[in-house]
Amino acid sequence: MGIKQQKKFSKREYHLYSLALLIILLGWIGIVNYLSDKFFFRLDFSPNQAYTLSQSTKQILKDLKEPVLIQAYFTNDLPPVIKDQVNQVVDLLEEYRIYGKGKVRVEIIDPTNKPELREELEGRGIMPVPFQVRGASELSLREGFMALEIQYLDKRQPFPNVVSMPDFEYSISSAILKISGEKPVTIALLSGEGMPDPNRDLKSLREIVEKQYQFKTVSADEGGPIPEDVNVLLVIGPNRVSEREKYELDQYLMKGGKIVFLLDGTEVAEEYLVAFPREDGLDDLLESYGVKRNHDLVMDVVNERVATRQGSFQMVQDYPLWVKVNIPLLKELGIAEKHQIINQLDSVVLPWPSSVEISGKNPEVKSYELLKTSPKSWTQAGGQFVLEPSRLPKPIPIEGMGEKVRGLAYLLEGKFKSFYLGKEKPQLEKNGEDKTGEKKPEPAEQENTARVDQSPETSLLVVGNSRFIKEDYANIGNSNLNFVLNTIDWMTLGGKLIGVRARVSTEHPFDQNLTFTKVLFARITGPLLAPIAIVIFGLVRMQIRRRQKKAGSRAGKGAGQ
Amino acid sequence: MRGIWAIAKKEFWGFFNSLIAYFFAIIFLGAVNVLFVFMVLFPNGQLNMTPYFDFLLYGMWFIIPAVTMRSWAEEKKLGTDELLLTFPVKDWEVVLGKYLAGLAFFGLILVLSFSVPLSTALLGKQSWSVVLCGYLGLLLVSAAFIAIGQTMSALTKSQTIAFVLSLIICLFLLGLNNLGGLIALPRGLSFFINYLDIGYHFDSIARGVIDSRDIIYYLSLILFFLILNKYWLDRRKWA
Repeated sequence: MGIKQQKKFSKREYHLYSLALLIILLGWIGIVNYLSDKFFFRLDFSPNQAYTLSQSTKQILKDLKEPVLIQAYFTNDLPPVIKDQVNQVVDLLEEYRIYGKGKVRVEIIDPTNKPELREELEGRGIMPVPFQVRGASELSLREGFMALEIQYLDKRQPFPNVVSMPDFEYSISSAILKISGEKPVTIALLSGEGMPDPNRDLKSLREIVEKQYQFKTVSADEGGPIPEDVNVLLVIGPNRVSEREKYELDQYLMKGGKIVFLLDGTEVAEEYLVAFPREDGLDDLLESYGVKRNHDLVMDVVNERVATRQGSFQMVQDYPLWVKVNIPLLKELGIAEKHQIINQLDSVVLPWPSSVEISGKNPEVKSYELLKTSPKSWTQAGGQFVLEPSRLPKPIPIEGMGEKVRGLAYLLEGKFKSFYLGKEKPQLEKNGEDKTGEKKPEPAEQENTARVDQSPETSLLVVGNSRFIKEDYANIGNSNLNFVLNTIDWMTLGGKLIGVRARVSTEHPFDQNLTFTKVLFARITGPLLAPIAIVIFGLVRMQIRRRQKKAGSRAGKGAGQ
Repeated sequence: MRGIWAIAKKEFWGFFNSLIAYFFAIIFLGAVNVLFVFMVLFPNGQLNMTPYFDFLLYGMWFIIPAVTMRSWAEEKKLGTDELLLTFPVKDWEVVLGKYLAGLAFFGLILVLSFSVPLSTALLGKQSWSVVLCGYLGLLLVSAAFIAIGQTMSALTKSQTIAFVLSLIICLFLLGLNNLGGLIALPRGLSFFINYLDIGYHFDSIARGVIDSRDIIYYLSLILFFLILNKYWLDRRKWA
């Protein structure tokens, strides 16, 4: 092809031509992008497919008997930062609609200019949310709707602010499950001596449980049975359980109730850093069911670090008594239990835990060692406990005390025999006096409930620690709450919601026991490798080019001569 | 096709003859890697590559205009553009050849930056699917920035003007979301601005979600600027 013959345009023609082209081009790009927004596909490669509806949610939607209406109330002109989050919510709602296969209808409404609707919504607890908008020189306060309401038959569940919901899918799916369920599921906390206050000590746990279940406290110290409508009973850190209370717990289990025992083997006075064995009276009951909770203190090289003060200095150091059950690490070591409750958890931190083991008295039940230490754990026992970080004892290489994997939580499933089989029904303790020393009316014996000696298929969980779920410690391990919530889900719904919760693991901690070489490589070689490679390549290329030039100029001179 | 390949090859090796490309590549990778490893990775004790991708993204905002500014501007200044366009290849083949060379060069830089995820994988469990998606996102962003940089370079003889123009356009596309945060906009415009934001689409890919909408957005941006580049070259056909 020779020199090209080109038609010359006038400047005006060129401008018109360019303008037309630009308009056509932008038009095409606009159309393609518009259509791509309508017909799109997504591939989710994030861990646990965190940005796609989980299998559990899909199953919940598939099981719906009646249609669900999700009404999203979003103000149109929200600032882009909030809009981003709203768009993500809208994307997920679209997936709810798609996987609902006609059973889920999604409506997106802007109530801003609809006073009647606004009034109606306000009556149902849906209000505009205030937010700040940065102007050219000042901040101004505005408000907008970012709410959602789920409707199933005549039941409604409002969410006044979906933008502040980090666990959006879990909240929505559990709400659908809750309002579409025929019978409400009840979780109860056993009240009694030393038991935590659900509004103060278990605030976070209670709030999450209440999102999905009915929550209440029950008592067994007045001689009455634990109500049959309780699906899961939480027994958390009692100081002492009377024989009669134990009997009621036993009978609750025998009637198919499920129990979560979170029990401390030791009493820890945190302010003085002293500990002594705690005798709550549950040992014989638990052993008969198949689990033995010890009264020792477990230590582990895999632990949560704590800040301590040394004179005027504050330093962070390992604290082996705050055992970190790092599920991914246990999986890597090949010793993690394969169970849906813990499959997607990250780390559960147990402050001052006691070990739990199989008692061997009930071989018929299936047992799962859900929480356990790393192979480098050891214990203190015998009542002389040292808690100060600098004075903690080292592992003793004698049987039972040396380094090994220790159980910290067991789940038992199967049929249990009554601990009171062939025994007298315990009488109510000391007629009359309550804890304040005042006389109280004689409790009425309730013999009208028949005694049961063997349970149907049921389950119970025993953890050698209760502090990990209390308000002060619930957030030290990123899966502390989720472990208990997963267990409750497992016991009530057979794990329908477990797949939704904690799909996004926010932590990617470094491995424990990193070698110096690995750290050095990551710290020095990794970041500098690429710049060094470019420098070397550049120098080599420069040398080659120099030689080529020299050779070229010599050849030129030779030809010239 | 052979024409595109020949030009791409010539242009690609041309980058290695320029000291400025070495200088920026070394500073870029050195600064981003050291900042990430010493200021974020080790202090946090978490193997999370998202901040690294953000560093690379904002580093590319600077380095790509700096390297692509000479693409056409230098040819124009030296007068070699006319010569280049009289070669037995079509104009669009020249544009595409130059573009692919730029893409290969920055692709190579991204490959070199992979030493960081590789070396840090020794510290814990690396989520490779998210890392690879992050790199796909970075490749798409660089592809868009290169198209912008080359188009701006085709607009002027001055490398400095080309650099500043590309810098402004890339910054505009990167910061649209924040810009929109300054003022309350009507829904349609707010959505449009949000959609145009490069970071919005990048974030989606970098977290491990490959969405056809994001891919189409980047392809549209690249196509738009490449066509613009080609038609800016047509100015020589003015009477």
